[in-house]
Amino acid sequence: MSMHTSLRRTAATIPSTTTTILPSRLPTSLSKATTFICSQCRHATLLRRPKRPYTFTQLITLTDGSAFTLRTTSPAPVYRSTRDTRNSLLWNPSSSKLMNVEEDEAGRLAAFRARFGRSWDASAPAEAAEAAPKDSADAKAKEEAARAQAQAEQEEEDNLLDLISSFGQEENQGSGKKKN
Amino acid sequence: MAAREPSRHLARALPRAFAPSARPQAFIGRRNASDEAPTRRLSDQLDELESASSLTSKVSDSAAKSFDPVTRAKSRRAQLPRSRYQFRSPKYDRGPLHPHQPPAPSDPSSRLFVPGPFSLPRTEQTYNSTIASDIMTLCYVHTPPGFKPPPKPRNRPLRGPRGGDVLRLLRKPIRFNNIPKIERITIHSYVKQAAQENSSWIHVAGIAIQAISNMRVETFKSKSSVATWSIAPGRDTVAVKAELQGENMHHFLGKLIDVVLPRIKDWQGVKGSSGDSSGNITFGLEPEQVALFPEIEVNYDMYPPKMIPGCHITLHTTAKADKDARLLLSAMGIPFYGKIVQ
Amino acid sequence: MSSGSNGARRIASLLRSSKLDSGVCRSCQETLGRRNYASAATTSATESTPATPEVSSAAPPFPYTINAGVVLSRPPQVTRDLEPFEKAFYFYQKRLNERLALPFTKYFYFKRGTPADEDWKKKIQERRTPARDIGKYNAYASDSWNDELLLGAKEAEPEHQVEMLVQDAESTANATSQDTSKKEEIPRPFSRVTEADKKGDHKSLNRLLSRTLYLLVQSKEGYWKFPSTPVEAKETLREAAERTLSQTAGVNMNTWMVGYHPFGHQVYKNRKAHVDKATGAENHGEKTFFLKSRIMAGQADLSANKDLKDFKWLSKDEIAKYVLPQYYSNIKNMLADR
Repeated sequence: MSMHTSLRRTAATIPSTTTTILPSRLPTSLSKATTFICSQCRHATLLRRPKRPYTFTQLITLTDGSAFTLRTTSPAPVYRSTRDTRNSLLWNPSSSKLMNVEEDEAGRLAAFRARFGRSWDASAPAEAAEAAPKDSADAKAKEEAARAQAQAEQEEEDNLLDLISSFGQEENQGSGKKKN
Repeated sequence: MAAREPSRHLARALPRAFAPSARPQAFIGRRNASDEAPTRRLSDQLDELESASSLTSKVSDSAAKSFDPVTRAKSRRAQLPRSRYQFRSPKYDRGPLHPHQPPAPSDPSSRLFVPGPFSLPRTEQTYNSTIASDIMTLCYVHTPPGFKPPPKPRNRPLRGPRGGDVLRLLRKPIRFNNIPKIERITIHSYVKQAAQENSSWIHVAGIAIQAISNMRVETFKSKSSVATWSIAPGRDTVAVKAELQGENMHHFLGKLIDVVLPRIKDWQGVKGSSGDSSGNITFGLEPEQVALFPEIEVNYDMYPPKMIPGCHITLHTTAKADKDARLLLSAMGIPFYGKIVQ
Repeated sequence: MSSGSNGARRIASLLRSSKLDSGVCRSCQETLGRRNYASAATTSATESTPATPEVSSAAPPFPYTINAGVVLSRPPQVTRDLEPFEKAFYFYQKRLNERLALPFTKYFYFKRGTPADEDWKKKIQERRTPARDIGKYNAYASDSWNDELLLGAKEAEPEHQVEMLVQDAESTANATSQDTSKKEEIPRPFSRVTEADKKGDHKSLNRLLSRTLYLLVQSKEGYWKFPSTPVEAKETLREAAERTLSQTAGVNMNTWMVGYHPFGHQVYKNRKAHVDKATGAENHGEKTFFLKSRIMAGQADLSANKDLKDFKWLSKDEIAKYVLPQYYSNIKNMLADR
């Protein structure tokens, strides 16, 4: 009797699957397949060829230049990632470089800089302003500070301009702005 | 008395054995296989197995250059009939008593043969070289020399198993032979629209899961009835599953960790309370997160809009407790957040 | 980790029998003492409570110096080089797969008439197969049986395969881009052999990327060994190991100490016991317990340390050439093969 029930169970599970036969299960599925149909069955069982999608070898390059190959269904020979464990904050919690990095996934900022240069950046002039007071022990200090102030003011204007120019696109860049 | 004699000989021989020898100083102690392991390569050991290996034997240049199997085969005047050199596996399995038996599935001529592996995956190598030994060191439990477990009091019956109705797995101390490792990965996707609307949802889900997993998926009908989604048991095919093992699994894991998870916006990690308390950790990916896989990204337009499925990814480990599984997975690079539940 | 308390419980049960001798280490004894006081009320209060102090006071001083050693290692950074057999095997499996897997569904990935589609067709004409890394091979032709590589063929080499992938990506980018004047350059993966390898710089952490490297220091007498110092009073092994690391190799390193337990030990016995004339205590040698540690960033710096001359980052088979044979036979089993 127990024999009978087990047979029925296999018969119940197999139709619910598609034609796939898992490679790892091959030995067992072969032996199962012989007793598949019913308890009285004596005819032959078709040995189906396992169906597997075509796989390519792909070279994946991470942002820090490390590269590895893997098997994938995608026909692209090389995949260059823009965001991965090497430059994501969650994986590098102590990295000061990543703490205030701007997000530029669509390449908008890069395109803007290619066209108008880096002088519009928020971070570069600010650094100069920070660095200036350190040197300012001399008589030049006041001059420097005044220039930095002027620069900072100008930069604020630029930021406003930036805001205006990117008015319509703000939804996309929203997260990036927040981080900056 | 006769039994004593060898020991007398031994006593006489011992000082000689310990006297400094004239030979160059060799490693003291036993000779182990591990002594020479790093300096010897696998190809050196092949010599011992097989004296004439094709990998080591030298062939003269002229013979190598003139060898062209295709022209040689074509220049033959009479071709052999196929049946003379090509074995065709029987298409049907006719039972164990039939004279014509199919070859074993591991035989390349078998119809069930699956080639592979095609590479040595990176995550597997990292696990073997770094993570496994670190986990063993971390989980070591010290037993002082001379320790014996306290004896069981006599005449006391064996204690019944602890816990309630559900018996948890027994967690044994982690030693060299039971270091937790990733056993398989299950990608499962339940598409309720396949029952509500039409079957195209399940087809798209199957193709998407196949694309990210390199495997043909299995489909399932619902077992339970969900009235609000109008799903009746056994009527509609509502779920697809791919079960990855071996090389596919390692490649998927490396891709998931290094490329896909970091690209998810505002992702905190896997929830600390995830897990089935026997070492299997599950987390879910939303449809837009599944679309971040490079395989789907490469032809994102070909998938009907909004039909890419979300999925659940279960990482089955050989660990017996979630704590060990999390230790392993965080070493592989999966972050956890929130309250860690053991 | 609960393992610590488990171990403590075992030690406690061992000590309760008051048969303790020098076989149990100091930190275990301490843990034992504490556990014992805590559990004394529940177990046999009369017997166990006085036992521990007696043992620790009556025991003679331990005749060995206990050292804490640190095995600071850099895990492998790149995958290992494949054996010739593995290369041949993987390559052959790929060609077999060509014949047995489902054919590539081109229409799913390339829309008809697009430049990418034209480029794909042209390339298929050349190499006869969708895959780039298996050379020119047509799995569906009548001579598909000819799937073995000839002698001296490069197709099975991983470097060659990666090069083919990159070349294919470059030619696709050139063929599908609008302006024909600019040539697309896709950067190749970095070399697996670094400058430090070529120069033989043993102090660089960038050498032997596919092997585990261990920090070895040279004492004034010229012996190479892992950094180690005696454990001081009231110091656990782990604390002593951390102190050792900062004392010998400086603080300019980001390291991670793996666990609290030693993962190897080494015993050095003096020919004759050194007798301290003041107290009469004998010293038979030293026992070193090694803790495992991983370096994440930084570099060793011996300038603050006057007892050590030099340091090197060595792999396992190089260590065998530097250290004494006796020392190597003690440590070899705790070092990773790769």
